[in-house]
Amino acid sequence: MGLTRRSFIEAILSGVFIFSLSALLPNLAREKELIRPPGAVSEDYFSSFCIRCGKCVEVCPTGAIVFADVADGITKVGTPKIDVLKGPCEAVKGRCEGNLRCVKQCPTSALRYVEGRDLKIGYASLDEPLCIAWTKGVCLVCHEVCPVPGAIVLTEDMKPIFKQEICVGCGHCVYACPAEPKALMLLPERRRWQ
Amino acid sequence: MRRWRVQVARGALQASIIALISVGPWFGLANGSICTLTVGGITLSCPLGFLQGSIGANAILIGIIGSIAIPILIALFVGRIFCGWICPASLGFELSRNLRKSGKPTTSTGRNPIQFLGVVLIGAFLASSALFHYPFFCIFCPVGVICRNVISYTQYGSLGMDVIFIPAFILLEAVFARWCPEICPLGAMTTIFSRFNFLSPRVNEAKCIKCQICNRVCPMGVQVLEGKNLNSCSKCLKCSENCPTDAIDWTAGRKPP
Repeated sequence: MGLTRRSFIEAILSGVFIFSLSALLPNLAREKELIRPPGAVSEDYFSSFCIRCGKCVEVCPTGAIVFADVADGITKVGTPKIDVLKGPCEAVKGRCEGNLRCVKQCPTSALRYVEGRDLKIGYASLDEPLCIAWTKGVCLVCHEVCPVPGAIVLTEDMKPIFKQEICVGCGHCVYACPAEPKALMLLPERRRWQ
Repeated sequence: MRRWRVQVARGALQASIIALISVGPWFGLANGSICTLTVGGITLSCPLGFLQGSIGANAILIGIIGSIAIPILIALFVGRIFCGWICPASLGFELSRNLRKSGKPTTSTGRNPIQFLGVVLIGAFLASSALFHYPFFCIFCPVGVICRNVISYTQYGSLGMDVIFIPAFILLEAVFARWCPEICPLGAMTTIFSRFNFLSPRVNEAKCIKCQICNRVCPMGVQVLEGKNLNSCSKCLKCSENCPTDAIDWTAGRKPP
């Protein structure tokens, strides 16, 4: 029993269809820039290196690592991202310092061991019209929870100023911000190829 | 004689693997999903994920090169046992295929004896990884989608939007009834490796009454009676359980004489 002409043509057409679909889908919607766990390889390679096994999601002690969803971009479905609303990243000056569980668990070196400034995953950005300290009253929560000296400095009348170069993007301030909606958000840092 | 014991065992094994993936991390029993699973100090990885990742990254994913060896060895010697006993989607697919096939003595395999379709699709997925640098199959792979959503539900209590792929697949399967035997790239890859396949159904000619039930119940489109397409056998034992005269033997060995 050989291959019939019909099933041959059907198979070739299916292959072409799958290939075209994989070319088309990522262009249908703009892919979001995600905040990756510490030590992630450059975004150009992350989708290939990550096998989407979810080990990092399971071991994160604060539950900050979640799976990227379809809305984050079709090429990123199932890869890990940091959702600071679930928890902060403790890689810098936190529980995970020197013991990065997500990096240790990663089987494919999509997350790699890095130190010092390379641990920077992003930076916090303040929307002053929403900030309690800048608008109506006294609030020092972000300054109090920040583990990085100098990342948040206070003006003379106790209003916070965020230093993008010093901030590592751990997200403690965003997680703790009492404003409703939150006056802070975490933006990703473009990583270079390591 | 119609029996269910093996089918219940299969369901139980698949369910316990899902349970292991979902609550295993809490007790330190397991870590990861079927894509890369560490259990009892042994790590197993998906060979198709490895290939797509390596091609997309222009680098060999050295970290999992050792852990794809065991799945490949299993495939070499017992073929598609993964499909029958481990794959968490297999029972769902079989049930929806049965919805369509009920009563109709169809075997899909006549159309596609060497899983040509699955092999072409593997080629398309690998070409897509090379050009667009992401593992396209992993996005909607039924195994991956189920594992990811099980993990996300147990870890932080929500499901991803990709969970929609599961009912979509079930519906498509009820209409086309071809995923496991012909389309699934994971299954096609296992069939490619299924070279020695030491465990195959063998018809005892003395007892056989040529009723064709074995061919009809086979979820993988193996032609048990003719001994054809045995590389696709997922060792689900449905043929022996449904055989009215118990004419199917499972003896280890290469091929029927």
